[in-house]
Amino acid sequence: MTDNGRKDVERDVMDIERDLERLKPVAAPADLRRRVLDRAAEVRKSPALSPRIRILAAACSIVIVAVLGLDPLIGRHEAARMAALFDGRQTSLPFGEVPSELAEVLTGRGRDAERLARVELAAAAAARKEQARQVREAWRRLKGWLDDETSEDLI
Amino acid sequence: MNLDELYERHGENLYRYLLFKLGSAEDAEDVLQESFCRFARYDLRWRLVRDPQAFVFRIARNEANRFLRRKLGRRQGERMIAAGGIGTFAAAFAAPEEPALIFLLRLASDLPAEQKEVVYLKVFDGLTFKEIASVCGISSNTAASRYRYGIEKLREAVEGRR
Repeated sequence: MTDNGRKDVERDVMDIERDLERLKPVAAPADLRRRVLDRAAEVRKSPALSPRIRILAAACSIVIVAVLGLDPLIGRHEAARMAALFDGRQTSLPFGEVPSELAEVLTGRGRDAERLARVELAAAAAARKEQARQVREAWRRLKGWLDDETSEDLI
Repeated sequence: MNLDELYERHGENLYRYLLFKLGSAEDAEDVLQESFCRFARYDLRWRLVRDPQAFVFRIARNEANRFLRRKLGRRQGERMIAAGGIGTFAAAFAAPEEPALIFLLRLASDLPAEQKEVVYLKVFDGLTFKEIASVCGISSNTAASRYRYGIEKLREAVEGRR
């Protein structure tokens, strides 16, 4: 396209915009402002959470914080038990690696009671892993759900 | 955040945008009320908002989508949202008398929904492409190209008529 041709197109585009701006918008109803602001003021006055729900929410938050705080402590305790079962031997893999524990149990090392305890620990570790996976999965879904309302963060 | 001031600045524009999105004055009024109720609840969130104009339009758009889901049922509501709502210029503007403007209004109403919305927000509400992008949940480049294609279509149709 030549420079003149491009200028013509640009002028035409500006004409279109100008013509569109000439359209007259419809007026809002006279009492709409009052109705909208009255309703918004009502909402502002009433708290989002009732006292009972607020107490419940606070209790739930305390429980969640407690669980999150206790989890590493329980983990440490179990690690100590595991170390005791291994008679001070260090496992080659970090704590929570189920396959090596299972392998050790299945190869038949240790006494019966010890083996049973190891199986129990291995099962508990596997259950914890599954639980963590489920939490991660739920969190991932929740993140997607929250995206709907948080895009204004981009603004 | 002062609600009176907010209405002063954006109330009428939001009402017209909702009219354009929903095609009915009654629905637009309901959704505008809901949007302002939401603004009233967002006391804390306002402090984090960098661009109030884009924010209020985004909230109004979300509220309109919620309204469509409620009114039409989830499945049909989603279909309607994907199609850009009712999206009609005729609802938001008084019928013009000039034939050229009548023709332009009809052409604008026939644009694809996504282009129509961008053209509306740009021309009538003066939003920047960045603001339009955050309102519609698209990139600034997409907003700009939708606008360009929309205006180009209008230009070609007007040109063809001359």
